[in-house]
Amino acid sequence: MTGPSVGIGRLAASADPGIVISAIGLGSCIGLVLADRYARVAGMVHVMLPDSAAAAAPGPPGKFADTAVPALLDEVCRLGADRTRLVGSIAGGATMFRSASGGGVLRIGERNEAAVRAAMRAAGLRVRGADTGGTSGRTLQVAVGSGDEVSVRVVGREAVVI
Amino acid sequence: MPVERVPDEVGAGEAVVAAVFLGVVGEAPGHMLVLMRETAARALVDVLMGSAGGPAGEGDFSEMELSALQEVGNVLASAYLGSLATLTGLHFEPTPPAVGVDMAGALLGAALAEVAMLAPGALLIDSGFGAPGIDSVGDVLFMPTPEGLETALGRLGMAS
Repeated sequence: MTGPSVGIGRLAASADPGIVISAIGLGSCIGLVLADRYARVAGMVHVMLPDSAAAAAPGPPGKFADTAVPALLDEVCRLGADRTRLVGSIAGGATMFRSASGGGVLRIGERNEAAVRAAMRAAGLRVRGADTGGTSGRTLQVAVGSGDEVSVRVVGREAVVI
Repeated sequence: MPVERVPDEVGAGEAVVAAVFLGVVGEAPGHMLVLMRETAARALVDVLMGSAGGPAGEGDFSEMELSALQEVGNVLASAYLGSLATLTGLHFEPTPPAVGVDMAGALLGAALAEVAMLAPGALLIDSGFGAPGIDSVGDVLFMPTPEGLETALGRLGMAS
């Protein structure tokens, strides 16, 4: 089971059965999967920040929640997915650092999740599965074809299908 | 480089590391991240705590052990900043540190998101460090803001 690893701000989609797309080490970032089981197309994007307009600098569309959702949607549809059949799964949005002082580090995960969910709603897409929040890093994977199974791995825990 | 490329440079991924993240305020502000490989972190904790909690084994670090790691990170960052202060004549001050133990990619990504809120890119100054009897404990990453970098380089006679 091999396939692309989706780094921060990047996006990958495939219609090749047997390909596994992964986002390794999601902390406060959100990994979003859009999958069309009938067409056997799935894609994943690795979102780092909630809002492209508020950013200190531009980046690839996958970096920001508001631009990542349309970008991933375009890509999976280009490969043959039907937008009305697409189902979304998200993982990540954790608070990775325990801090005595609090502050920005503690909120980015939650804000990313909220922004991704809002962008999905704006695109008329549904988030069916989620494994988010908490304080652990996650690895998100989707196995293209074969039901487009989406699973999440956490240190010290068995992989969970979401 | 763009913030999102740092994990590729540092070689993150699923390897478990202990990370201490703190801000730097002063004349050349930015952030620092100290990364310690898990086995080295456990060995360090053993040394620091005199194996009070039993042999370094599996399982989560206790509150005290996390606190000890946080201190190690703090001391390393302060030493690093002290050297920079000597070299540049600038004043640097660390903010209270935060600690995490988990997949390197997850910790690095979370720290970079914070950095990305303030700066378009990261300048990565990556220094490896070791300890007596423990090779290659980890890395210290210093990520100044663009303004901070300008200021520091200016003092070093290397301003653009």
